[in-house]
Amino acid sequence: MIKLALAAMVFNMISVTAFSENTNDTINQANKVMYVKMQYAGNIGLVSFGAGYDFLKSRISIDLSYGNLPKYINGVRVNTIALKPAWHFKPFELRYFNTDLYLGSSINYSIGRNIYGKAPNYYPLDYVYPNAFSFNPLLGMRTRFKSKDYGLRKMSLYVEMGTVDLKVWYAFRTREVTLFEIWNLGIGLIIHIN
Amino acid sequence: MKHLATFVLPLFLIFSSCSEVFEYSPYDTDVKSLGLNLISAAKISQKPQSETDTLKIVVFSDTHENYDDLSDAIVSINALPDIDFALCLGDVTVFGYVHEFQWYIDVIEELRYPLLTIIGNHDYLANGFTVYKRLFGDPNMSVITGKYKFVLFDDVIWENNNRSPRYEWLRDELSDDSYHNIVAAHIPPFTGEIGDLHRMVYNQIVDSSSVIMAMYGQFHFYNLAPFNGIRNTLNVASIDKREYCLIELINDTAIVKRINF
Repeated sequence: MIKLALAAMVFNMISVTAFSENTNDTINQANKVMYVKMQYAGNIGLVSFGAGYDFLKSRISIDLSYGNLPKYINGVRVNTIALKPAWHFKPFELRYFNTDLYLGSSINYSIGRNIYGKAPNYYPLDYVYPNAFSFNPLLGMRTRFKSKDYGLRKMSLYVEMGTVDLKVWYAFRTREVTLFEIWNLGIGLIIHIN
Repeated sequence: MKHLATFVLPLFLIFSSCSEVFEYSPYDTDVKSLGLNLISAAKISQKPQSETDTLKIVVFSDTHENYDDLSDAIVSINALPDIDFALCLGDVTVFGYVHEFQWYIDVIEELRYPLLTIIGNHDYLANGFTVYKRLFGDPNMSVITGKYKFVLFDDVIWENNNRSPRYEWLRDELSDDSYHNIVAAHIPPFTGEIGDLHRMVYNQIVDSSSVIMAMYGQFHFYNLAPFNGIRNTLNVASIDKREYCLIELINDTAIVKRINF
């Protein structure tokens, strides 16, 4: 049920975006804007917190987040640091929102049981590959309120459709895994600082 | 309408087919407890004892990311008549990710015979051990059918934080000589991953006085030779070699056939 509801939500949001007028460079005229963010899910933990910058009139963004998957969720604890550069390729102006679509990749480093950035010293050389890093391609949509209210004007909501490098590899490597089944969602809130 | 068709329909289809909408981490362990080995063991043990003077089992190993080869193997095994059960000798994943386990299960669900899956060293990576235990049960287990006792032993050391395998459990399981004991584990005792001390302990427990056959994976190639006095010490090739073994057990004799598919 939740899956259908979210699919419908994405359907609605993208429909509106697709029919809206393209107004390039209207989102943010500043060259460098700092923001802080909070995200739910999206391969970097149950909840993650981070900060970053928009550059080049908000065409490029880059942020650094820390996410945690607490043990009480599924019995394991995973800490993740994610560096997420993105290219905001399609800005739109909607009635009450400034919106853009973006492509990016989250580069994750995770810490947890049997997750190695460097293999333990009792392993022979080249015995295992480090498995702490992952590259997570994503397509996102960010929308910012056009409001006279200062607080609302500083906020954006975003939704990202992402996956993990390994799943992409499997989708191309085997017929048992399809490109359609490897995606999941992350949603978040951004507060623009200046 | 063109934009609508380009953007929206593919996204709608994607999220309608995704297994999970929100995922927290690729290292998560979000699976239900299925106890697949326990279910298979119950089916295997249910067979009346009088029918099990002989047994026919299929053994394959090291499936890793080769789901297509595994799928083809399942089709081939399903075409064989009168198999008592199948055994996978571990390494069903590359990175121990929950999705790899799930894809493995998606494929083996097509098998018409009961299947026991041993844990391999790759399956320990990340939080794979937790996922394995939920999906299959305890990695150390025994299954008795007729005259035969199959002892599935978790002998992974390095990926288990350098912890010792449960040798006392193994010794207890093999102490009953009223059965023909068969040991199955992922890592052969004659590799570097089993250190000298571990090898000495293992070889004292698993020898010809207690065991009629031992079988292992890990090496990715086939070999059948005596080891530590056990006449039939079998190494099963990885599934990407597109072969598995059909083993016929008649009293204390094992006839091993390599089957290519």
